[in-house]
Amino acid sequence: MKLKFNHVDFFYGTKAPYLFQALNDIDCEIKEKSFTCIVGHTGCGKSTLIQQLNGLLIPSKGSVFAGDFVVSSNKKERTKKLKPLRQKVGIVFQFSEYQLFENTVEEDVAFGPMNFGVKKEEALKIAHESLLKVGIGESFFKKSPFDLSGGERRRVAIAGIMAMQPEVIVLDEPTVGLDPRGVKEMMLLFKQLHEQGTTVVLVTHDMNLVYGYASDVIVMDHGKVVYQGGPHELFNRSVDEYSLETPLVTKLIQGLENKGYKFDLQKIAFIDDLVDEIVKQRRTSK
Amino acid sequence: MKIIEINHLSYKYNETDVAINDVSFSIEAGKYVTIIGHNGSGKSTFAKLLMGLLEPNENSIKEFGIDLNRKTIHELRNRMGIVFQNPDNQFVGATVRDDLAFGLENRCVKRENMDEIINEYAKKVNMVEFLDKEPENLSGGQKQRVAIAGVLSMNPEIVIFDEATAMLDPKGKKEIRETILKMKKENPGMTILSITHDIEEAYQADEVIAFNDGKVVFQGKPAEVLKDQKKLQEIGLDIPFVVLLKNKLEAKGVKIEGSSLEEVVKNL
Amino acid sequence: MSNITLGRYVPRDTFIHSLDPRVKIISLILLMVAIFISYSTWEMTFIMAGILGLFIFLLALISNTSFRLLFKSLRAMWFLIIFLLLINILIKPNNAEIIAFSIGSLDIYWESIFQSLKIIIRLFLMVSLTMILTTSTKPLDLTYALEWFMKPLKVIKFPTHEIAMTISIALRFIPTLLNEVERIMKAQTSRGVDFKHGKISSRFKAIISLIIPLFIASFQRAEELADSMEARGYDPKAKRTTYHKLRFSVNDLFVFILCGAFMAATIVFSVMNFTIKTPLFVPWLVIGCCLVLFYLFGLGAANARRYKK
Repeated sequence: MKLKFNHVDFFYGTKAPYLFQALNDIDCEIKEKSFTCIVGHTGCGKSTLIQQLNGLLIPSKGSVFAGDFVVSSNKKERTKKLKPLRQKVGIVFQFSEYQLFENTVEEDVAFGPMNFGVKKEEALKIAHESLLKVGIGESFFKKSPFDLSGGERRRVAIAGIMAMQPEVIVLDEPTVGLDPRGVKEMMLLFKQLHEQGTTVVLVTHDMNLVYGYASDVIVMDHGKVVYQGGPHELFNRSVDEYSLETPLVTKLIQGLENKGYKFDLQKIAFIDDLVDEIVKQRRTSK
Repeated sequence: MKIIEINHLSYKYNETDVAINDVSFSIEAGKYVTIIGHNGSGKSTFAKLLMGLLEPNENSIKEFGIDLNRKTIHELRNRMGIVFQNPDNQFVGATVRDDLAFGLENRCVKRENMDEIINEYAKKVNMVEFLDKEPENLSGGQKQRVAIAGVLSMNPEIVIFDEATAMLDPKGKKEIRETILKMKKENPGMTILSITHDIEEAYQADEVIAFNDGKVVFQGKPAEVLKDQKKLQEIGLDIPFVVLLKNKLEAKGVKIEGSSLEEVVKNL
Repeated sequence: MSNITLGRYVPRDTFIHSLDPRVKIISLILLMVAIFISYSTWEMTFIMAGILGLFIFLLALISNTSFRLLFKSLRAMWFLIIFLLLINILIKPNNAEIIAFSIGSLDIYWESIFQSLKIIIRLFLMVSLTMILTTSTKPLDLTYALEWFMKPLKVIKFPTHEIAMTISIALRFIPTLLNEVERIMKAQTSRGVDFKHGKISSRFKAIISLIIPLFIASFQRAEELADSMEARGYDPKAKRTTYHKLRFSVNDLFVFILCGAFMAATIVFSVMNFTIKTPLFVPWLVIGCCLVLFYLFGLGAANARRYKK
């Protein structure tokens, strides 16, 4: 499913005395089956942007096209029923561990699909599959979600969205507060989802994750999209331009390039490639 | 001088949930020590035990040479401060000013002196212009800075950071890291204990203590103990990027000196 | 969520904002009493209601309370007003004599119309007064004032300080919890929950899916907050100093006397059965009140100007 923003503006507080423009003429595209990272400072409009994707927020001006759905400021153009869109575009919010409420883990995960009309037995079956995918074993299925640790609950929450079998999964900073192992496991899960054909949209602050996983990057600043393209091109240019954090790998590469090393970034996927290249170039220079 | 001495400390929340399992070690005064470990390794429980928010087993914790128990708890707490993870859940006052006053009220500071102290410490963390702001109008990093000012205004000898940057964005993280370094510089005698899973922060500390399953796995200088990638991964942690790079280069027969990325790049 | 903004504190620099919260609470009570005094004749009832109304109108002007919000708060009471009207009109009062008009076989008496009108006016005045108080006083200041009023109860070991602390923390966390509500609602909406439409059973489920996570998160917050307060040396039993000090000024005294006099006057009128025929007295009172009010108004304006510099 392709997601397209067409000159979208969004204002908060149109009824209150304080008007705040969160999105300013957003015109961009999230490609089908891509792994798109959305980055930018807190308050740059990332969270507002993703809420337009499933109609939680309606643009104040312009339209969002999600497959056949139209979320437009113009009532006539807008798709009448937005609920089916929420099944197609699943959003996992920040601190999703606090959205669980059912008696058991499996019921909680089945809650989403059942809201979209899946029968209970079928929903439970999907729930079990999703739970296994996120690494929550069978012994947890009948437990109360509140007996789980924070990290486990977050994975259950993600399974809850996956169980809706969305075409696009949007994740708002899913790795915040996790330890390095937790981050790695979670990122591998998203990678797997992506490889299976789901479009993954990841909102994050962690440039090292962007470097390692993204196929596309959208950089936002003050409610505007300031960059859209591949991660290598972004890090190749000066990241400081958007006052983002430079990934450590990029720091290394930039430092070495200043010293006369030359790298073909398309060929370097892992640190091992980089090390090989460094060793090779050291030898030839000697 | 040993400012914190831990002697056979154990703690369990219930029969099955053992958080700390017979741990013994000590921390020198005036050091910047990081405690690392994956979520659930017992490091936050340890912080709460140090502050006396959980009750330790008898004679297991000595701070400033004094045994921590019900009688000494208030005296010891007065000499320590802690900054927690969630910026919202440690902001008590209606405004920054009120929040800073809260700690002073608890210590029975005279009303006449409060404004001066509040201004002084707000200035130290660059929050003077936000003194009359409500917490909902502050960023996470700003709230954490207020928490630090609140702790500093008590003149503590030990300051504990319990994953104080975990919920912040990179900008907030940077603000807090800089504030901690500045604080360390201004108060060289202060002992700082930072609980974190940011391995890059741990790499910059004087000393690292690693927790795993309620036990201390190792303790020592970062450059010495943060070398073994396999061992670190076993306890759910990363290896600092520079160390990883150096290890990989060394495996290919290139030995490079330097402890920071800049130095390594220079020597390559 | 918009209802919650009704009566919320609006920071302004007015005479009323600068008053001592204790005086404001006392004055509110005094004026409430004045509102509820009844008189022997309808004329007197409505004239006094008019004077009070004028007074409250001026208070609203001075304190810069938004009239739009005032009327909005009334709109929230529509149902109550209609209900009261119906009850009053359908039940024949004891001393009703004159029929105003008839609808079919149903006689409507002037008495019932006046009665309902009186109730509506009282309601309106009460709500307006409370709104003026809450929009012009920081909730925290109200809490301090309440703590002060409860001081005598300390003798019987009543936990006045704990109550005040509890209220102030609750106030502090209202915005945080509202954010939380919004976030959870959005998360559940993304899982296909519809909070606005649907059958009773599914709506019930929707509310459960909001309430339970909210409770869990709040408990966790409370626990962390307790830890943090304890670590910062808070002990409800121990002696503490206080940063906030309530200051009583000449202006406060003046307002207190004015409101007290107002209430006293209404009681006197009521007890001594003054009527509209009482010569000279009422006009004098009205003029007197207005003079004082204009003085107040002037002070407020002067204050505002001073701050603008």
